[in-house]
Amino acid sequence: MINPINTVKICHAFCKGFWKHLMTKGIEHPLHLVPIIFGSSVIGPSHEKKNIKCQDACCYELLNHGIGVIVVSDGLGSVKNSDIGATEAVNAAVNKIKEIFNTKGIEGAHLDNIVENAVFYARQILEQKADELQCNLQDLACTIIVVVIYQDTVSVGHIGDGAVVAKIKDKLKIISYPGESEYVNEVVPLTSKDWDKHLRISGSSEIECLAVFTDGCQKAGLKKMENIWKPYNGFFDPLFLYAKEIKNIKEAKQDIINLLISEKMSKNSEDDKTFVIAVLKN
Amino acid sequence: MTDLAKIIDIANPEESKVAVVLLLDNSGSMSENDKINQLNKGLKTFKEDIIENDLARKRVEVAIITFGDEVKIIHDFSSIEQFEPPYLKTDGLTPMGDAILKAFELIEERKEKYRKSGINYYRPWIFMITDGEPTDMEPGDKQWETIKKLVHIGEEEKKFLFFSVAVNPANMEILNELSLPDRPPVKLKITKFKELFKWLSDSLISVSSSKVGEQVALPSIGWAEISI
Repeated sequence: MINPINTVKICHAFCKGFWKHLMTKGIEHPLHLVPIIFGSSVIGPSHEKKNIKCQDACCYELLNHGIGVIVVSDGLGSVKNSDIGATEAVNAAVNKIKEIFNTKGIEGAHLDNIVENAVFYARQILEQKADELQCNLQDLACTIIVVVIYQDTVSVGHIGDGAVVAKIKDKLKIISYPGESEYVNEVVPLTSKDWDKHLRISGSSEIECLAVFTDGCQKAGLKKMENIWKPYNGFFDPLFLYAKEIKNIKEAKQDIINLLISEKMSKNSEDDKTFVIAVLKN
Repeated sequence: MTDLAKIIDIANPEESKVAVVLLLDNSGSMSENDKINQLNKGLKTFKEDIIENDLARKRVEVAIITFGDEVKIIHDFSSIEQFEPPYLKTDGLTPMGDAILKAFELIEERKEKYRKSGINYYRPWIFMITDGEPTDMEPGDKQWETIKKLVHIGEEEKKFLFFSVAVNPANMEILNELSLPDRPPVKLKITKFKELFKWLSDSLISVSSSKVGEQVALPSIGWAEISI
Protein backbone atom coordinates (compact mmCIF):
# COMPACT_ATOMS: atom_id res chain seq x y z
CA MET A 1 0.00 0.00 0.00
CA ILE A 2 1.25 3.46 -0.85
CA ASN A 3 1.03 6.19 1.73
CA PRO A 4 0.22 9.39 -0.12
CA ILE A 5 1.32 12.20 2.08
CA ASN A 6 1.17 14.96 -0.44
CA THR A 7 -2.36 15.74 0.62
CA VAL A 8 -1.44 16.06 4.28
CA LYS A 9 -1.15 19.63 5.44
CA ILE A 10 2.36 20.37 6.58
CA CYS A 11 2.04 21.75 10.06
CA HIS A 12 5.55 21.37 11.43
CA ALA A 13 7.25 24.70 11.75
CA PHE A 14 10.74 23.66 12.71
CA CYS A 15 13.31 22.40 10.30
CA LYS A 16 16.59 20.58 10.69
CA GLY A 17 18.62 23.73 10.24
CA PHE A 18 16.77 25.43 13.05
CA TRP A 19 17.19 22.39 15.29
CA LYS A 20 20.90 22.19 14.49
CA HIS A 21 21.19 25.86 15.40
CA LEU A 22 19.64 25.12 18.78
CA MET A 23 21.99 22.17 19.32
CA THR A 24 25.09 24.25 18.59
CA LYS A 25 23.89 26.72 21.22
CA GLY A 26 23.80 23.82 23.69
CA ILE A 27 20.04 23.74 23.73
CA GLU A 28 18.37 20.34 23.87
CA HIS A 29 15.99 19.03 21.23
CA PRO A 30 12.71 20.83 21.98
CA LEU A 31 10.66 18.05 23.49
CA HIS A 32 7.31 19.64 22.72
CA LEU A 33 8.04 19.05 19.05
CA VAL A 34 7.61 15.59 17.63
CA PRO A 35 8.86 13.11 16.65
CA ILE A 36 11.24 12.61 19.55
CA ILE A 37 13.65 9.80 18.74
CA PHE A 38 16.21 8.14 21.01
CA GLY A 39 17.92 4.78 21.39
CA SER A 40 21.15 2.93 20.78
CA SER A 41 22.99 -0.25 19.80
CA VAL A 42 25.02 -2.11 22.42
CA ILE A 43 27.38 -5.06 22.26
CA GLY A 44 26.04 -8.37 23.63
CA PRO A 45 27.78 -10.35 26.37
CA SER A 46 28.80 -13.18 24.01
CA HIS A 47 30.63 -10.80 21.66
CA GLU A 48 32.20 -8.96 24.56
CA LYS A 49 33.60 -12.25 25.94
CA LYS A 50 35.01 -13.21 22.53
CA ASN A 51 36.38 -9.70 21.89
CA ILE A 52 34.21 -9.36 18.76
CA LYS A 53 32.96 -5.92 17.71
CA CYS A 54 29.29 -4.96 18.08
CA GLN A 55 27.59 -6.17 14.90
CA ASP A 56 24.42 -4.12 15.40
CA ALA A 57 24.16 -0.55 14.12
CA CYS A 58 21.54 2.17 14.19
CA CYS A 59 21.18 5.68 12.81
CA TYR A 60 18.30 8.11 13.33
CA GLU A 61 17.77 11.70 12.31
CA LEU A 62 15.19 14.45 12.28
CA LEU A 63 14.83 16.07 8.86
CA ASN A 64 12.94 19.12 7.70
CA HIS A 65 9.18 19.32 8.17
CA GLY A 66 9.24 17.05 11.24
CA ILE A 67 10.20 13.98 9.25
CA GLY A 68 11.91 11.31 11.33
CA VAL A 69 14.13 8.54 10.00
CA ILE A 70 15.24 5.45 11.91
CA VAL A 71 17.38 2.69 10.41
CA VAL A 72 18.64 -0.34 12.37
CA SER A 73 20.70 -3.29 11.22
CA ASP A 74 21.97 -6.52 12.72
CA GLY A 75 25.22 -7.91 11.29
CA LEU A 76 25.03 -11.68 11.09
CA GLY A 77 26.70 -14.02 13.60
CA SER A 78 30.17 -15.18 12.71
CA VAL A 79 30.38 -13.34 9.35
CA LYS A 80 33.72 -11.57 9.46
CA ASN A 81 32.79 -8.04 8.31
CA SER A 82 29.13 -7.95 9.32
CA ASP A 83 29.81 -5.03 11.69
CA ILE A 84 30.97 -3.04 8.65
CA GLY A 85 27.96 -4.26 6.66
CA ALA A 86 25.51 -3.12 9.33
CA THR A 87 27.11 0.31 9.71
CA GLU A 88 27.34 0.87 5.96
CA ALA A 89 23.71 -0.23 5.47
CA VAL A 90 22.24 2.15 8.08
CA ASN A 91 24.30 5.13 6.91
CA ALA A 92 23.47 4.47 3.26
CA ALA A 93 19.73 4.20 3.94
CA VAL A 94 19.62 7.41 5.99
CA ASN A 95 21.67 9.30 3.39
CA LYS A 96 19.38 8.15 0.59
CA ILE A 97 16.28 9.31 2.46
CA LYS A 98 17.85 12.70 3.15
CA GLU A 99 18.79 13.02 -0.52
CA ILE A 100 15.26 12.19 -1.65
CA PHE A 101 13.64 14.74 0.66
CA ASN A 102 16.29 17.34 -0.17
CA THR A 103 15.75 17.05 -3.90
CA LYS A 104 12.05 16.36 -4.09
CA GLY A 105 10.79 17.95 -0.89
CA ILE A 106 7.79 16.62 0.91
CA GLU A 107 5.24 17.48 -1.75
CA GLY A 108 4.36 14.36 -3.67
CA ALA A 109 6.53 12.14 -1.53
CA HIS A 110 5.39 8.56 -1.07
CA LEU A 111 6.81 7.15 2.11
CA ASP A 112 6.56 3.53 0.92
CA ASN A 113 8.58 4.33 -2.19
CA ILE A 114 11.13 6.18 -0.13
CA VAL A 115 11.80 3.32 2.30
CA GLU A 116 11.98 0.89 -0.63
CA ASN A 117 14.52 3.11 -2.39
CA ALA A 118 16.54 3.35 0.82
CA VAL A 119 16.76 -0.45 1.16
CA PHE A 120 17.77 -0.82 -2.51
CA TYR A 121 20.44 1.83 -2.05
CA ALA A 122 21.76 0.14 1.11
CA ARG A 123 22.12 -3.10 -0.88
CA GLN A 124 23.94 -1.21 -3.66
CA ILE A 125 26.35 0.33 -1.17
CA LEU A 126 27.07 -3.10 0.35
CA GLU A 127 27.95 -4.42 -3.13
CA GLN A 128 30.33 -1.48 -3.62
CA LYS A 129 31.84 -2.01 -0.17
CA ALA A 130 32.42 -5.70 -0.90
CA ASP A 131 34.34 -4.70 -4.06
CA GLU A 132 36.31 -2.10 -2.15
CA LEU A 133 37.24 -4.55 0.62
CA GLN A 134 37.71 -7.34 -1.92
CA CYS A 135 35.53 -9.64 0.13
CA ASN A 136 32.38 -11.63 -0.62
CA LEU A 137 29.11 -9.78 -0.33
CA GLN A 138 28.10 -12.42 2.23
CA ASP A 139 30.93 -11.23 4.49
CA LEU A 140 28.88 -8.06 4.99
CA ALA A 141 25.64 -9.94 5.72
CA CYS A 142 23.14 -7.98 7.78
CA THR A 143 19.43 -7.36 8.27
CA ILE A 144 17.84 -3.93 7.80
CA ILE A 145 14.79 -2.04 9.07
CA VAL A 146 14.14 1.38 7.55
CA VAL A 147 11.46 3.56 9.15
CA VAL A 148 10.26 6.94 7.90
CA ILE A 149 7.95 8.94 10.15
CA TYR A 150 5.78 11.83 9.08
CA GLN A 151 3.26 13.22 11.55
CA ASP A 152 1.49 10.11 12.93
CA THR A 153 2.18 7.96 9.86
CA VAL A 154 5.08 5.59 9.27
CA SER A 155 6.38 3.41 6.47
CA VAL A 156 8.74 0.50 7.08
CA GLY A 157 11.06 -1.38 4.72
CA HIS A 158 12.37 -4.56 6.30
CA ILE A 159 14.59 -7.55 5.47
CA GLY A 160 15.41 -10.17 8.10
CA ASP A 161 14.46 -10.34 11.74
CA GLY A 162 13.87 -7.68 14.37
CA ALA A 163 10.55 -5.82 14.37
CA VAL A 164 8.66 -2.54 14.65
CA VAL A 165 5.99 -2.27 17.33
CA ALA A 166 3.67 0.71 17.69
CA LYS A 167 1.10 2.01 20.10
CA ILE A 168 -2.07 2.97 18.26
CA LYS A 169 -5.20 4.08 20.11
CA ASP A 170 -3.84 2.61 23.35
CA LYS A 171 -3.20 -0.80 21.78
CA LEU A 172 0.07 -2.42 20.75
CA LYS A 173 0.47 -3.46 17.13
CA ILE A 174 3.35 -5.07 15.25
CA ILE A 175 3.81 -2.90 12.17
CA SER A 176 6.63 -5.00 10.77
CA TYR A 177 7.17 -8.62 11.80
CA PRO A 178 10.42 -10.61 12.03
CA GLY A 179 11.09 -12.46 8.76
CA GLU A 180 9.74 -15.98 8.72
CA SER A 181 12.17 -18.72 9.71
CA GLU A 182 11.51 -21.90 11.60
CA TYR A 183 14.80 -22.05 13.44
CA VAL A 184 16.28 -19.57 15.85
CA ASN A 185 19.65 -19.31 14.04
CA GLU A 186 18.31 -18.76 10.51
CA VAL A 187 17.58 -15.50 8.71
CA VAL A 188 17.53 -14.08 5.14
CA PRO A 189 19.88 -11.07 5.06
CA LEU A 190 20.08 -8.02 2.79
CA THR A 191 23.07 -9.65 1.08
CA SER A 192 21.23 -12.83 0.00
CA LYS A 193 20.70 -13.57 -3.69
CA ASP A 194 16.92 -13.19 -3.63
CA TRP A 195 16.89 -10.39 -1.06
CA ASP A 196 14.34 -8.30 -3.00
CA LYS A 197 11.77 -11.12 -2.73
CA HIS A 198 12.12 -10.88 1.02
CA LEU A 199 11.71 -7.11 1.23
CA ARG A 200 8.56 -6.30 3.17
CA ILE A 201 7.01 -2.85 3.02
CA SER A 202 4.40 -1.97 5.61
CA GLY A 203 2.93 1.08 7.23
CA SER A 204 0.43 2.46 9.66
CA SER A 205 -1.17 5.68 10.86
CA GLU A 206 -2.48 7.21 14.06
CA ILE A 207 0.66 6.10 15.88
CA GLU A 208 1.43 7.50 19.32
CA CYS A 209 4.78 5.77 19.92
CA LEU A 210 6.87 3.15 18.20
CA ALA A 211 9.89 0.98 18.87
CA VAL A 212 12.33 -0.35 16.29
CA PHE A 213 14.59 -3.18 17.45
CA THR A 214 16.91 -5.94 16.32
CA ASP A 215 16.79 -9.65 17.07
CA GLY A 216 18.63 -9.25 20.40
CA CYS A 217 15.49 -7.61 21.88
CA GLN A 218 13.00 -9.88 20.14
CA LYS A 219 12.57 -12.41 22.97
CA ALA A 220 12.13 -9.57 25.44
CA GLY A 221 9.40 -7.80 23.51
CA LEU A 222 7.57 -10.43 21.47
CA LYS A 223 5.85 -13.72 22.16
CA LYS A 224 5.24 -16.29 19.43
CA MET A 225 2.27 -18.44 20.31
CA GLU A 226 0.87 -20.95 17.82
CA ASN A 227 3.10 -19.38 15.18
CA ILE A 228 1.64 -15.89 15.68
CA TRP A 229 3.83 -13.07 16.96
CA LYS A 230 2.35 -10.84 19.63
CA PRO A 231 3.80 -7.73 21.24
CA TYR A 232 4.12 -8.00 25.00
CA ASN A 233 2.42 -5.29 27.05
CA GLY A 234 4.64 -5.97 30.07
CA PHE A 235 7.62 -4.87 28.01
CA PHE A 236 6.33 -2.06 25.77
CA ASP A 237 3.73 -0.30 27.93
CA PRO A 238 6.19 0.89 30.60
CA LEU A 239 8.72 1.95 27.95
CA PHE A 240 6.22 3.94 25.89
CA LEU A 241 4.84 5.56 29.03
CA TYR A 242 8.37 6.50 30.05
CA ALA A 243 9.17 7.81 26.54
CA LYS A 244 6.22 10.21 26.61
CA GLU A 245 7.45 11.75 29.83
CA ILE A 246 11.17 12.15 29.23
CA LYS A 247 12.67 15.51 30.08
CA ASN A 248 16.16 15.10 28.65
CA ILE A 249 16.91 13.21 25.46
CA LYS A 250 20.55 12.46 26.32
CA GLU A 251 19.51 10.92 29.62
CA ALA A 252 16.79 8.96 27.86
CA LYS A 253 19.35 7.52 25.43
CA GLN A 254 21.56 6.55 28.36
CA ASP A 255 18.56 4.91 30.07
CA ILE A 256 18.04 2.77 26.96
CA ILE A 257 21.72 1.81 26.90
CA ASN A 258 21.54 0.86 30.57
CA LEU A 259 18.45 -1.24 29.88
CA LEU A 260 20.09 -3.04 26.96
CA ILE A 261 23.21 -3.93 28.97
CA SER A 262 21.23 -4.81 32.11
CA GLU A 263 21.40 -8.31 33.57
CA LYS A 264 17.70 -8.79 32.84
CA MET A 265 18.21 -8.25 29.09
CA SER A 266 21.62 -9.96 28.90
CA LYS A 267 20.23 -13.07 30.56
CA ASN A 268 17.45 -13.17 27.98
CA SER A 269 19.75 -12.80 24.97
CA GLU A 270 23.53 -12.84 24.73
CA ASP A 271 23.31 -11.16 21.31
CA ASP A 272 24.03 -7.50 20.41
CA LYS A 273 20.96 -5.32 20.92
CA THR A 274 19.46 -2.26 19.29
CA PHE A 275 16.37 -0.46 20.54
CA VAL A 276 15.12 2.91 19.27
CA ILE A 277 11.94 4.62 20.45
CA ALA A 278 10.03 7.38 18.64
CA VAL A 279 7.28 9.46 20.22
CA LEU A 280 4.95 10.73 17.50
CA LYS A 281 2.27 12.33 19.65
CA ASN A 282 2.81 14.08 22.95
CA MET B 1 17.88 8.69 35.21
CA THR B 2 15.34 5.86 35.22
CA ASP B 3 16.21 2.21 35.74
CA LEU B 4 14.14 0.80 32.89
CA ALA B 5 15.15 -2.80 33.65
CA LYS B 6 13.12 -2.50 36.86
CA ILE B 7 9.93 -1.45 35.13
CA ILE B 8 9.81 -3.92 32.24
CA ASP B 9 8.88 -7.59 32.09
CA ILE B 10 10.40 -10.02 29.61
CA ALA B 11 7.98 -11.59 27.08
CA ASN B 12 9.78 -14.84 26.50
CA PRO B 13 12.25 -15.79 29.22
CA GLU B 14 12.52 -19.40 27.97
CA GLU B 15 15.86 -20.55 26.54
CA SER B 16 15.94 -21.64 22.88
CA LYS B 17 16.10 -25.42 22.54
CA VAL B 18 18.11 -27.86 20.46
CA ALA B 19 16.46 -31.28 20.44
CA VAL B 20 18.49 -34.41 19.75
CA VAL B 21 17.16 -37.94 19.34
CA LEU B 22 19.73 -40.66 19.90
CA LEU B 23 18.68 -43.63 17.82
CA LEU B 24 20.61 -46.56 19.27
CA ASP B 25 20.94 -50.09 17.96
CA ASN B 26 20.70 -52.57 20.86
CA SER B 27 20.26 -55.67 18.72
CA GLY B 28 21.94 -58.93 19.80
CA SER B 29 25.14 -58.26 17.84
CA MET B 30 25.90 -55.12 19.88
CA SER B 31 26.91 -57.41 22.77
CA GLU B 32 29.96 -58.54 20.77
CA ASN B 33 33.37 -56.88 21.26
CA ASP B 34 32.18 -54.87 24.27
CA LYS B 35 30.21 -52.52 21.97
CA ILE B 36 27.16 -52.13 24.21
CA ASN B 37 29.31 -51.43 27.29
CA GLN B 38 31.22 -48.75 25.42
CA LEU B 39 27.94 -47.27 24.19
CA ASN B 40 26.60 -47.15 27.76
CA LYS B 41 29.77 -45.43 28.97
CA GLY B 42 29.55 -43.01 26.03
CA LEU B 43 26.07 -41.92 27.11
CA LYS B 44 27.44 -40.97 30.54
CA THR B 45 30.28 -38.97 28.92
CA PHE B 46 27.69 -37.20 26.77
CA LYS B 47 25.66 -36.09 29.79
CA GLU B 48 28.75 -35.00 31.76
CA ASP B 49 30.07 -32.88 28.88
CA ILE B 50 26.81 -31.13 28.09
CA ILE B 51 26.01 -30.38 31.72
CA GLU B 52 29.37 -28.64 32.18
CA ASN B 53 28.52 -26.02 29.56
CA ASP B 54 26.25 -23.24 30.85
CA LEU B 55 24.36 -22.59 27.62
CA ALA B 56 24.15 -26.18 26.36
CA ARG B 57 22.87 -27.32 29.77
CA LYS B 58 19.90 -24.99 29.40
CA ARG B 59 19.31 -25.61 25.71
CA VAL B 60 20.01 -29.24 24.77
CA GLU B 61 17.09 -31.64 25.13
CA VAL B 62 17.67 -35.33 24.60
CA ALA B 63 15.52 -38.37 23.82
CA ILE B 64 16.61 -41.97 23.27
CA ILE B 65 15.00 -44.57 21.04
CA THR B 66 16.47 -48.07 20.99
CA PHE B 67 15.93 -50.66 18.31
CA GLY B 68 16.59 -54.36 18.91
CA ASP B 69 14.04 -56.70 20.36
CA GLU B 70 11.58 -53.83 19.81
CA VAL B 71 11.51 -50.14 18.95
CA LYS B 72 11.23 -48.33 22.24
CA ILE B 73 11.38 -44.76 23.50
CA ILE B 74 13.45 -45.48 26.55
CA HIS B 75 13.85 -41.81 27.36
CA ASP B 76 11.41 -39.17 26.12
CA PHE B 77 12.64 -35.60 25.61
CA SER B 78 13.96 -33.94 28.73
CA SER B 79 16.57 -31.41 29.74
CA ILE B 80 20.06 -32.83 30.12
CA GLU B 81 19.78 -32.44 33.90
CA GLN B 82 16.74 -34.71 33.96
CA PHE B 83 18.42 -37.24 31.68
CA GLU B 84 19.59 -40.35 33.49
CA PRO B 85 21.87 -42.29 31.12
CA PRO B 86 20.23 -45.72 30.78
CA TYR B 87 22.03 -49.05 30.96
CA LEU B 88 21.20 -50.64 27.61
CA LYS B 89 20.92 -54.39 27.19
CA THR B 90 21.01 -56.22 23.88
CA ASP B 91 18.55 -58.55 22.25
CA GLY B 92 16.77 -59.22 18.96
CA LEU B 93 17.06 -57.98 15.39
CA THR B 94 17.51 -54.50 13.83
CA PRO B 95 14.14 -52.80 13.14
CA MET B 96 15.88 -49.65 11.90
CA GLY B 97 13.03 -48.48 9.64
CA ASP B 98 10.45 -48.36 12.42
CA ALA B 99 13.00 -46.72 14.70
CA ILE B 100 13.69 -43.91 12.21
CA LEU B 101 9.94 -43.45 11.77
CA LYS B 102 9.53 -43.15 15.54
CA ALA B 103 12.32 -40.56 15.65
CA PHE B 104 10.53 -38.43 13.02
CA GLU B 105 7.31 -38.56 15.04
CA LEU B 106 9.10 -37.63 18.24
CA ILE B 107 10.84 -34.66 16.56
CA GLU B 108 7.60 -33.35 15.05
CA GLU B 109 5.77 -33.66 18.39
CA ARG B 110 8.57 -31.79 20.13
CA LYS B 111 8.56 -28.98 17.56
CA GLU B 112 4.80 -28.69 17.94
CA LYS B 113 5.23 -28.38 21.69
CA TYR B 114 7.86 -25.66 21.23
CA ARG B 115 5.62 -23.79 18.80
CA LYS B 116 2.61 -23.96 21.12
CA SER B 117 4.65 -22.72 24.06
CA GLY B 118 6.35 -19.99 22.02
CA ILE B 119 9.81 -21.50 22.54
CA ASN B 120 12.45 -20.74 19.90
CA TYR B 121 14.37 -23.75 18.65
CA TYR B 122 17.29 -24.84 16.53
CA ARG B 123 17.13 -27.49 13.82
CA PRO B 124 16.78 -30.85 15.63
CA TRP B 125 19.27 -33.71 15.30
CA ILE B 126 18.66 -37.42 14.72
CA PHE B 127 21.83 -39.29 15.61
CA MET B 128 21.79 -43.02 14.79
CA ILE B 129 24.37 -45.59 15.86
CA THR B 130 24.10 -49.11 14.41
CA ASP B 131 26.26 -52.17 13.86
CA GLY B 132 23.94 -53.95 11.46
CA GLU B 133 21.52 -53.56 8.63
CA PRO B 134 17.76 -53.07 8.82
CA THR B 135 15.75 -56.23 9.28
CA ASP B 136 12.37 -54.55 8.78
CA MET B 137 13.09 -53.19 5.29
CA GLU B 138 15.40 -53.68 2.33
CA PRO B 139 16.19 -51.55 -0.71
CA GLY B 140 13.25 -51.52 -3.08
CA ASP B 141 10.47 -52.48 -0.68
CA LYS B 142 7.69 -50.13 0.41
CA GLN B 143 9.02 -49.46 3.91
CA TRP B 144 12.51 -48.73 2.50
CA GLU B 145 11.16 -46.23 -0.01
CA THR B 146 9.07 -44.50 2.68
CA ILE B 147 11.95 -44.20 5.12
CA LYS B 148 14.51 -43.15 2.51
CA LYS B 149 12.13 -40.47 1.21
CA LEU B 150 11.49 -39.21 4.75
CA VAL B 151 15.21 -38.91 5.45
CA HIS B 152 16.00 -37.20 2.16
CA ILE B 153 13.01 -34.82 2.11
CA GLY B 154 13.42 -34.12 5.81
CA GLU B 155 17.04 -33.10 5.26
CA GLU B 156 16.30 -31.10 2.10
CA GLU B 157 13.45 -29.24 3.79
CA LYS B 158 15.64 -28.67 6.83
CA LYS B 159 13.26 -30.49 9.16
CA PHE B 160 16.16 -32.12 10.98
CA LEU B 161 19.78 -33.19 10.58
CA PHE B 162 20.25 -36.94 10.12
CA PHE B 163 23.58 -38.43 11.15
CA SER B 164 24.39 -42.13 10.99
CA VAL B 165 27.34 -43.82 12.60
CA ALA B 166 28.29 -47.34 11.55
CA VAL B 167 29.97 -49.73 13.97
CA ASN B 168 31.58 -52.84 12.49
CA PRO B 169 30.07 -54.97 10.84
CA ALA B 170 27.35 -52.47 9.80
CA ASN B 171 26.20 -52.51 6.19
CA MET B 172 27.77 -49.31 4.87
CA GLU B 173 26.23 -49.70 1.44
CA ILE B 174 22.70 -49.57 2.83
CA LEU B 175 23.51 -46.70 5.19
CA ASN B 176 25.07 -44.78 2.31
CA GLU B 177 21.93 -45.18 0.27
CA LEU B 178 19.76 -44.06 3.17
CA SER B 179 21.78 -40.93 3.92
CA LEU B 180 22.19 -37.76 1.93
CA PRO B 181 25.41 -37.56 -0.15
CA ASP B 182 26.59 -34.49 1.75
CA ARG B 183 26.04 -36.16 5.12
CA PRO B 184 27.19 -39.75 4.54
CA PRO B 185 27.46 -42.36 7.31
CA VAL B 186 30.73 -42.42 9.21
CA LYS B 187 32.39 -45.64 10.29
CA LEU B 188 33.38 -45.66 13.94
CA LYS B 189 36.67 -47.12 15.11
CA ILE B 190 35.53 -49.84 17.45
CA THR B 191 37.32 -48.43 20.51
CA LYS B 192 36.31 -44.82 19.96
CA PHE B 193 32.81 -44.65 21.45
CA LYS B 194 33.97 -42.15 24.08
CA GLU B 195 35.44 -39.86 21.42
CA LEU B 196 32.26 -40.20 19.36
CA PHE B 197 30.10 -38.95 22.25
CA LYS B 198 32.62 -36.23 23.05
CA TRP B 199 32.29 -35.05 19.43
CA LEU B 200 28.49 -35.14 19.71
CA SER B 201 28.45 -33.07 22.91
CA ASP B 202 31.01 -30.58 21.52
CA SER B 203 28.93 -30.22 18.35
CA LEU B 204 25.74 -29.60 20.28
CA ILE B 205 27.55 -27.08 22.50
CA SER B 206 28.58 -25.17 19.33
CA VAL B 207 25.09 -25.30 17.86
CA SER B 208 23.35 -24.27 21.07
CA SER B 209 25.48 -21.13 21.36
CA SER B 210 25.05 -20.11 17.72
CA LYS B 211 23.21 -16.94 16.85
CA VAL B 212 21.18 -15.80 13.90
CA GLY B 213 22.92 -16.36 10.59
CA GLU B 214 25.83 -18.18 12.10
CA GLN B 215 27.29 -21.07 10.12
CA VAL B 216 28.26 -23.60 12.75
CA ALA B 217 31.48 -25.46 12.06
CA LEU B 218 31.27 -28.87 13.72
CA PRO B 219 34.43 -30.20 15.36
CA SER B 220 36.63 -32.43 13.22
CA ILE B 221 35.89 -36.13 13.43
CA GLY B 222 38.69 -37.93 15.22
CA TRP B 223 36.79 -41.11 15.89
CA ALA B 224 36.20 -42.34 12.36
CA GLU B 225 37.92 -45.13 10.52
CA ILE B 226 37.68 -43.14 7.33
CA SER B 227 37.45 -39.36 7.48
CA ILE B 228 34.77 -38.18 5.11
